[in-house]
Amino acid sequence: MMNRLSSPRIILPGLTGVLIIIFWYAIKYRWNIHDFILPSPHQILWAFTDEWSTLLRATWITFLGAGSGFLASVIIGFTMSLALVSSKWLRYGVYPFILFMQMIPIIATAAIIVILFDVGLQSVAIIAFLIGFFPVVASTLQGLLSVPEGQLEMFRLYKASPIQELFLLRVPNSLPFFFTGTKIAATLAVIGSVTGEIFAGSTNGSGGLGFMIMIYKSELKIDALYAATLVCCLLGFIFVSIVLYLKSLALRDWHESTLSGQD
Amino acid sequence: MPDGPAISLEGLSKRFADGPLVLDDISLTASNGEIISIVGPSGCGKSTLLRLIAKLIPATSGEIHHSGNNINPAFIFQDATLLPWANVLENIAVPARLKGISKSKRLDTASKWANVVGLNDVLNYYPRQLSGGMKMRVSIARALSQSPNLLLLDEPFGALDAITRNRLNEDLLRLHDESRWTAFFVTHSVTEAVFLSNRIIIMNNNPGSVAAIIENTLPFPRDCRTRESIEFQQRVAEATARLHQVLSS
Ligand SMILES: Nc1ncnc2c1ncn2[C@@H]1O[C@H](COP(=O)(O)OP(=O)(O)O)[C@@H](O)[C@H]1O
Ligand SMILES: [Mg+2]
Repeated sequence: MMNRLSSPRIILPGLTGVLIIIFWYAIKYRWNIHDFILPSPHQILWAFTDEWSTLLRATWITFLGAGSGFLASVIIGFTMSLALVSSKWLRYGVYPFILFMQMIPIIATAAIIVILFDVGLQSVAIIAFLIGFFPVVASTLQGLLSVPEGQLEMFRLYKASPIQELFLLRVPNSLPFFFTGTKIAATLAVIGSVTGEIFAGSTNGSGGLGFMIMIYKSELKIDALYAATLVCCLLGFIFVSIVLYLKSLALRDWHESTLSGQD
Repeated sequence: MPDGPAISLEGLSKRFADGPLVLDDISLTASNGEIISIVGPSGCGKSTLLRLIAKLIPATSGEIHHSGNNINPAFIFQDATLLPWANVLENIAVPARLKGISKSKRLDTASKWANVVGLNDVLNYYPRQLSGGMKMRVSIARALSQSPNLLLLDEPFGALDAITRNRLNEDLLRLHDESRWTAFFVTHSVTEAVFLSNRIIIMNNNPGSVAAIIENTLPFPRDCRTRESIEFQQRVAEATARLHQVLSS
């Protein structure tokens, strides 16, 4: 049964991929677009092999920035949600600002953080953190607050302490929401750190993917620029896959979303 | 095991904040180990009354007295209120867990109660894998595992099909025979009320008040054959007629 379910889910995306590449070539040769504007897929592939070691090192640096920022956003965001759900006054006072901060464009966040914290990995990590923090808090808090009334009443009937209500009822109830926020944070962490690197530039002479995109652009290595962009997508994809895997482990038994394969 | 406490409500009234009067001067008594059914239009304050009796909320005026030392209430809601992330065994053990009873001990007790309500085969199932009837059995086991002497049932079987509902009614009476808790049972079904209880309280709307009390002399023990008896059918017909008469006047 697994096979029957999963095979179209592998074949169909593969088919789409092939179609996209065919289109790519068709457009390029129909309008005779120059390699500096739209390189062919195979040129990008060669750029991969040429720039292999540079791209790998850049990916590692971006991974460090995005990864540490992302981890911090998940841990601090979750803790913040616990604090917010425990104190109504704190929630009333702080939550509107958390919603408000979510509206700051990534590029503005990146520019401001680099001004504040100087160029380097620390700025990239802080950008990735800030950008993931708000979705984690917003979703987790929603999950902590949306416990069905009946379950709350049942806990009160059996004289649950506030700590028990928080950790045995609200926290498990919030997990699906928490993972939704975390998934958003994972995507944004990579986008955020690449954006950050474009501003924050290199650390000790070696830059992340965002930095390399700037370099390739100035050197007119357009095929390598496309390759680096592709790696950014891949890195984000890996981040999200890890989150989805952890989610399926944590919610495997009880939550509908892990059954129907919505993700 | 001694019978559940006798309970008397004296002039109980309830108003939420500065809203309208929800319950007005409710007086009634339940003797030791009696099952009392409560029927009435929705919104007349039945759930509120059960909450008052369980001391989940305070009364605005009036008093609740009970015999014996302590009342140890358990609630069974229409929505089984199971935790979706916990399996059957863990769900039954929730009250014990909240009391800080050790894991091995509480799971032991839980499996005993799972056995009593016929859930042995599904101990490791999660709520979404259970039928409505099974969920309700988990809810019953969870409530009874605390050895309550007072049981408050708020339309517990309202969402179930007739066959499951009848089965659970019979099981409930069987369990009552063993433990003799005092119970208040809110239902929309006169048949269910006649089958389960000694007395049926009919409540009126706006504000909620006792409109009539029907004594139900149908003899015990009652089991699945009771429903087929002419006497049972007659009681149901009488109670239904009385309900219509009271609520239309
Ligand atoms: N916590 C509450 N706060 C304010 N009003 C409430 C509350 N609980 C119930 N009520 C009101 O009390 C009335 C009776 O409700 P309820 O006891 O649930 O009725 P029933 O169970 O008979 O349908 C309703 O009008 C409802 O709006
Ligand atoms: Mg109700």
